Amino acid sequence: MVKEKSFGSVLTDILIHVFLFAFAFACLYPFWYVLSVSLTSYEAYTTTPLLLYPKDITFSAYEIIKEPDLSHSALLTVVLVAVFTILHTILCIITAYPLSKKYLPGRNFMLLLVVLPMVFSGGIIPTYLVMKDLHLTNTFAILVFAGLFSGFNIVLMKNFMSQIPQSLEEAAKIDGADDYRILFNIYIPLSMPILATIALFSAVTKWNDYFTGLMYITNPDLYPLQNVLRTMIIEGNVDVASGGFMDSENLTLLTSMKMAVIIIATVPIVCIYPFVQKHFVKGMLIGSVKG
Amino acid sequence: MNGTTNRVPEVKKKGRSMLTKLYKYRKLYILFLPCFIYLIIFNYIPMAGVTLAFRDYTITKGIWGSDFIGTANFAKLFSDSDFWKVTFNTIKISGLNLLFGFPAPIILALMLNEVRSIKYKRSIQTVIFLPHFISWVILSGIIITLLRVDGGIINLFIQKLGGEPIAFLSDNRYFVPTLIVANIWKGAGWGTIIYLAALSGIDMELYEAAMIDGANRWHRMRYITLPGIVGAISIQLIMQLSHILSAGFDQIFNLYSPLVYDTADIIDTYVYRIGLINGKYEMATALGLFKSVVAFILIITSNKIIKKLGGDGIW
Repeated sequence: MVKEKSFGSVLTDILIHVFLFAFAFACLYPFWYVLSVSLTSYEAYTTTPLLLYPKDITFSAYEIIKEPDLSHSALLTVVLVAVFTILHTILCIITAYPLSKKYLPGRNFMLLLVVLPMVFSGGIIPTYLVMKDLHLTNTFAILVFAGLFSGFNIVLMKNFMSQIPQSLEEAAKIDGADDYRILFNIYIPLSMPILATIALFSAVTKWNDYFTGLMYITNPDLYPLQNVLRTMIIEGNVDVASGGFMDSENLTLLTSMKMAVIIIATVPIVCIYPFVQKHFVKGMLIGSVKG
Repeated sequence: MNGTTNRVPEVKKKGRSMLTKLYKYRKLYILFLPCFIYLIIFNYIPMAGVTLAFRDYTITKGIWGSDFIGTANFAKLFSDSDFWKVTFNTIKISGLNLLFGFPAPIILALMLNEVRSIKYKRSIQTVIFLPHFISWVILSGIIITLLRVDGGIINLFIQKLGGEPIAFLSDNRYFVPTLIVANIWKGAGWGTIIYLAALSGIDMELYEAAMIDGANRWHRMRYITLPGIVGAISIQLIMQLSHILSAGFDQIFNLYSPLVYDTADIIDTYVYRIGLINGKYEMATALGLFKSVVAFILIITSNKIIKKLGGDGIW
């Protein structure tokens, strides 16, 4: 086959590569800038605020990690995410399993029950009032319960399980296995790729969640990490509203510490990111195959 | 004697009632039970709580004790100019996101598809996908820093080029465009992955046959590539259209301030403020109910329309 490369074609190729590079650079540069400021000393920052790389490197801004509010909240959030991810994934599997059995009477009704909250909800006020009546506000429990069952993940899991040949189940039943053993010994091992994807995504979602804390928590000891971050990075920011600034020295110090906090908060996601990348495309392709 | 032996099978047939079935499949039902309990408590009881939208709420009487006043709350809501302002803002922001934010991942995916080097493709993909996983709290912190009027790097650049600093986040003229750009930054990578997956499903033989017939790059794109991803595009479009009344609470809440309420206040931020901050529970619930009902209608309708046009629906 003759591969003719016209000039126009080569030019388009170059333009495409350049554009993609520029876009990727624009995505990455803000993080690089934040990292640079966090590592730059106060003096260097005031003389040249237009930083392209860290100047006069110092780690003093990272002392902020010793701040008790931050470290306490970080620990709380790590425990929360661990507990939540395990529960969420297990509950997702056991809920999806019966839904994947077409012969189960009432299955369609059960499916409807799961899917309906995805398109219609009572709203934040009724939900808040119900939680208040149940005395779940300002508890660790509500942080775990929020989003514990995800209709989306359950349907994803159910679709995946439906594709596993029924013959496996029938053979196991002949051998005397009950539904629990079939689920545990056959379906779960076969569902590992999707499980990994669900676990990773739910962990990241929980780690990034600040709305639950915003709605239900007023006790500072129970604030998840994102809420503490909000206070430090966003609410601590005077000039969004006033357009002016206080003592310029304080603001700069504050800035490099804020940058350090941002970097600290981003590190866990970046660490988990390669795993997510690996599993996600696999999980996406599996989940999107229809019948 | 023969009569008694014939009766036994009949009794067995009648026994296949609901209860027997429930017992037969009891292990499966038990597996579903935790979800059932959770849905009742966390989803369906609050759904019943929307009755608050039709009542004159007082704390002492609670939701169920408060007087039923029919649609009076909605009448008050629709006559409030704030309602129209936030609804307009919501639709405007969603519309702009659709106009600029929806094509972005498609274009990116098409471009990435043309790249021959797998290494280059992979690295670009990895980089642009990352912002999706960073929370809006953190991204907003970064954005606020970059766009600071005094000393923010973007404004320093503008000043170096001889311009006046722009108050991106406190000026009503610039806030919404900033939102749209930030949204593309965070969301484009996610959509790109979805479209790339769809693109990988297109049969290579189609391309080879077309090239033999003399099709150039643009022909291939028009007649093979684009039709190949029409399914994915229509699903994404349905989902985004049905969310037109949710213009991105997380993003706006973390970036906005009273200075830009005029253009930035959307339904969700307004509901949050009048509900959880100002305690006007019945109005917030009424507005929330309005939003849920409209969104519900939208998703059903857009699914039907897209199916009629030949695309794949969600169900």
